[in-house]
Amino acid sequence: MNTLHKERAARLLSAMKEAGLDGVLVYGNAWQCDYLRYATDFPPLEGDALAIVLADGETWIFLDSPTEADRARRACPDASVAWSEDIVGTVLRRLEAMGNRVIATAPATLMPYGIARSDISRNLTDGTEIVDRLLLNKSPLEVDTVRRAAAMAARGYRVFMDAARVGRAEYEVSADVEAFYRAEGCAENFMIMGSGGREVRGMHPPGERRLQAGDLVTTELTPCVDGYYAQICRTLVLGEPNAAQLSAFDVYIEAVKAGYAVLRAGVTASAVAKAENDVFRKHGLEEYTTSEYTRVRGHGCGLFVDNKPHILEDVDTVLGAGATLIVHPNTYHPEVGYMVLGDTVAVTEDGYENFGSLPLELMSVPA
Amino acid sequence: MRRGLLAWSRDEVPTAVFDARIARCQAAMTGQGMDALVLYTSFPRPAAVSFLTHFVPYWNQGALVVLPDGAPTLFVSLSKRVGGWIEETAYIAEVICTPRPGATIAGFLKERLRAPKKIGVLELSRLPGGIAAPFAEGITPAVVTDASTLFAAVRHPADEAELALSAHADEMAERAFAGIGANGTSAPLISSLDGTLRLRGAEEVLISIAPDLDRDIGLVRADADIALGDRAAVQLSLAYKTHWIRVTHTLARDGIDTESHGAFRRALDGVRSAAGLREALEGAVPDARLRSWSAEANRGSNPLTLIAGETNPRAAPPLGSVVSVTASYDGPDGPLLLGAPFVFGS
Repeated sequence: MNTLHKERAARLLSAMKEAGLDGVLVYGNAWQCDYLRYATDFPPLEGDALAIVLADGETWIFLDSPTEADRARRACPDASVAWSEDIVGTVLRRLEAMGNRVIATAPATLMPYGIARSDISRNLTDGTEIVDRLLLNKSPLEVDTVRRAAAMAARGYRVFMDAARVGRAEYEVSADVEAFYRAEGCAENFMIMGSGGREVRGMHPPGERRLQAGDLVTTELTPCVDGYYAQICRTLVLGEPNAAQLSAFDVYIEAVKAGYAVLRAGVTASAVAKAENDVFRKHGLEEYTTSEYTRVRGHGCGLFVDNKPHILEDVDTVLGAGATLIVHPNTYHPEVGYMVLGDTVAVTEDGYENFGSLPLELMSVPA
Repeated sequence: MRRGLLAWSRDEVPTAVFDARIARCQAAMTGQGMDALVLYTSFPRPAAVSFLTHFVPYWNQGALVVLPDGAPTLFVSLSKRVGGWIEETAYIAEVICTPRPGATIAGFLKERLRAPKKIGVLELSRLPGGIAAPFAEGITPAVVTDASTLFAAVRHPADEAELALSAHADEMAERAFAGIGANGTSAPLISSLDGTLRLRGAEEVLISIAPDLDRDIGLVRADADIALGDRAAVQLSLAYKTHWIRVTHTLARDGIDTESHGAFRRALDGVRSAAGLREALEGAVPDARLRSWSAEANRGSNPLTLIAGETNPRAAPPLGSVVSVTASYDGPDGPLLLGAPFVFGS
């Protein structure tokens, strides 16, 4: 067991003891495996995965393919690993065999229905909040891992800038970035992008559109290092940025700085979102802070690309020291199109540490 | 993470292909007196919905609702801003963006069907609780039943589009392997394969590696740069235009073992039965003894599912289905890992 996971396992067992739990049942898959990884350190590549961790540390991992089970046995030699096409039935039989124990499940929204509607569910409680607290406020070792992921994100962005040339298709640009990350031993990265002008309203997976001179090329890169994701958002102009683009982007720079400025232990996600949105309001752009134009004003970064909390004005989650998140006032600007900007930061007792190493500016490369 | 090209080519997959697939689904539903079929989709489980619509969620989750007549409706927990992208990349007449797909689908069915009696759900027990619970509550008193067998039955045989896309993916994989050797460490090798395939339009590339076959034949994901032994194996799981295959090669320092791989592929030609598959694999590679094997195909929301292998050697893939077979052997020069897709019964 590596040091990071030893530490997580100890924190989980301690939280279980405090909550009077006999065990936790966690779910994960290749998209969202934060709860599962926190409990077991295993990230599935394919299919569904469930795991039971008991108060004494005994761990069972259940998978729906023999290949994944073989990987799990190698990755988690201390755990008992089983696979079955009927993964839900297998887990239910294991829970039944355990008798009358108090087991908390997490996350409730992704827990398979077959478990929730079974007779055994009378022994299950929703433990999502317990694990959420562990996922949110990270240890110094976890924060350092996010710091390393942020450095990886910045290096990837340099590759993105080199790759984004007039005439290349979006997917060709992303291929260069992914090849770079694989060469760095970075197996996972979440990346979306957009390219064009005022007609662009957001980002999406890389498509076939070919880049043109004058395009705004947006991206968010989210590489994963030792299980932890960090994100970078930047907007790149192919050619010299024009006055309208520069002026518009000043709002995003001001907003991201406003978001950073309120960060410290004890602040709510809502306060960060409000600080960012107030800048847009000041510039008469309030409409562009709504869900018609933007999803969130940032989000947690950690064992999942899009960890809680979402930075929104109606989210009152309190950020403690060790919370890592990206502050990104990404939205549409009516004069120039969709723009993005942001770096991953860690909340500290009296402020924050910014892991970003690239300038907070509208980037450009020759067309 | 999906990060390759997600694009729908109307030339490679004409709308008529989806119309025919949906019609097969609807005929099966009618045969079972099913008022609606609900198919879940998410990043790791996109295959059933992408088979019917080409839609692949890069984020979040949703479900497709197929009624006995007409075009299906997609419910997704995505922003309305993504609507244009969905229309561009998928064949869907109606997209409903909702943060609560379970309750929304239940409301939709009650409105469209008035008094639905029987609703089928693909892989009902695996449906995430956040969707399933409000759906089950909202659709009462209709009976909600598992429709996995129904979907698996309409999923095969492969149509011309699937055969062509799978063959193209296979060719992409083999071209990417050309010139690759087990030299040095894993990262440059994986980077080369990954980058090459994405430049050629791969939708997804998952790479697993057995870095030193003489020590261990287990395939792992390379989360770091791993030193390669004299012989290694690489498994590519490759998606092209929503269709997935696996190709596995054994590599020596000077390149892939083309001889063994060629023999392996030839042995699969014309296999039509479970017994025939095992027999073909046993005799596939000269002087090599079969250790283990697996045959995978799509039959639900997971892109590839185990159909047959040591644990169920008598199970046979459906005739005409695209099957990815992986096998390990004890060869004269050490262990071998080989894998390729083929059309069962062709």
